[in-house]
Amino acid sequence: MSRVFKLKSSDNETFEVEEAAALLSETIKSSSSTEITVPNVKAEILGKVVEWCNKHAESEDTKDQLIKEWDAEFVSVDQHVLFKLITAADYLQIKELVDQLTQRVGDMIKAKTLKTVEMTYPTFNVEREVQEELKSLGF
Amino acid sequence: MIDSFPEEISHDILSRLPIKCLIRCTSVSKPLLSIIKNSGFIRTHLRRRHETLLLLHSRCYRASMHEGTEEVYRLHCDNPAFDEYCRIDFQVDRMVDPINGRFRVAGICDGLVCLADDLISKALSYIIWNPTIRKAVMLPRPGFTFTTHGPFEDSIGFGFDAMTNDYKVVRLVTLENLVDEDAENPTVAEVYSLATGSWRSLGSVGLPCKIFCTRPHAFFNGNIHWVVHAVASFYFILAFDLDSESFRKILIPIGTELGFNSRVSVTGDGKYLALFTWYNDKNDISYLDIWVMKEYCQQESWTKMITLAPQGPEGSVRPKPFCFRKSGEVFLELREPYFYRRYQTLVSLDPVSQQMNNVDILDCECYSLDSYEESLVLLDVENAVSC
Repeated sequence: MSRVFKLKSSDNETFEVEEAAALLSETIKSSSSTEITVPNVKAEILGKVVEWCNKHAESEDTKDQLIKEWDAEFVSVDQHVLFKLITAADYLQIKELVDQLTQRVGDMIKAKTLKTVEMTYPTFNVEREVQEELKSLGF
Repeated sequence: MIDSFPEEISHDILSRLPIKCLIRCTSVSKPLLSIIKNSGFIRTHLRRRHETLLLLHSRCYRASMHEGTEEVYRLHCDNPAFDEYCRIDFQVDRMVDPINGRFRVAGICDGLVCLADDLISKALSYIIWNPTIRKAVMLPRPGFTFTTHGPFEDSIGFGFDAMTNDYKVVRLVTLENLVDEDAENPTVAEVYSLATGSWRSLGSVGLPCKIFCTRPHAFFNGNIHWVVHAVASFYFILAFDLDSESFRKILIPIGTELGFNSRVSVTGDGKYLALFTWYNDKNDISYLDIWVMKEYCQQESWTKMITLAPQGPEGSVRPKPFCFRKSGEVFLELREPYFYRRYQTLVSLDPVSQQMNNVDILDCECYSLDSYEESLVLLDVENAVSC
């Protein structure tokens, strides 16, 4: 009989999570209680993290093409949501989710800083427009 | 906002980026600059596997042949198409004029290139250079010089000491003016440390050996390796452990005698020490043997990967190996003897099938071709000059 964990968001919403999904989180794994409050993470974000865990618990083979596509869609969110997801996944210590999210942020920065036709290394004085673009990413 | 993340996360994100992106990020904000210049971050970035590249040092014809040639450094992707990744603008030779006309790529480690001005004359001038962030450190004059010790032959090696987190250049010097008791052990050594910025003598190597010429070394398993001549005219591989600073002898494959042109290397996957040896038989036909040492320091484990069949008419074409590729293939130059070839043939050899594919290097004479990975090393070194 697998246990059910209760995750509570900072705005007091509770999510019930099956053991297999919950134990993807190292924080939950090392917790003595099955009721965990996740501080600073609202329901909207916590719900998404739970959704990711459920999806990954049910699929054994993470190299499966379908799950890769699902993951790619999952991280295609706007940067504010992305940054909040990172905070949540980091608190809950879900390594693979953190990896996917940080890779996504990395790709976004690459897109804003790599020019398509560029055959020499830039010097340490960046162009104004790149500065503006990076600032818009929240730097 | 990126500075609101824990350090681990911002390091994680930034360590995934190639150098071109990180350079741009340094100008955006002070917090970003300080993350990227941080020594811990530089090592985190280095540990992550980035794209395998190749550093090509060559002499090329300018756009119009009538304009003569120019010396070029370029990075290429290590893929079948050998795509150009980036040109490198090298300005240090405007500050330091090499007496040999150009520097030689003497070694590469963690994105740092060790350059030496020793092609023919020994200028005793060395540079540690990171071409992607355009920073360089000029080494001070070494201890064993013509003025202090008389005529010599030397050979350098470059590697990383993981215990002290320090890059080191090791110089082997075979002295010619020796009194009797030293004649048995004519080779001495000294080491330069990037951390201290100075050379330190190691005294005698302790094993009877001689350097006859500058040969490429191999940095593998925390040790720098050179092919050296034993005083009794056989060869062996001299290994220097950067951590314990001790020398050791590694025997060459049983039953072989290395030709004058023998050199050590490392296989493309970084797992084994390799040995290239090319030689002519009594009919002056050139052969190339490639050996791999399956178990480090075990002479019996030397395994011959390939004996390259004679190339060209009457086997007169000399195959000169450059380096292994990540795929396990080997870059070779095929050079016809006795007359000046304007265009060399650069090929990629598959040692398993013996198949060779031409590599188009666009009318260039290739001086050296080595495996390369980008890094930020030297960004946190105060006295590194911009170039």
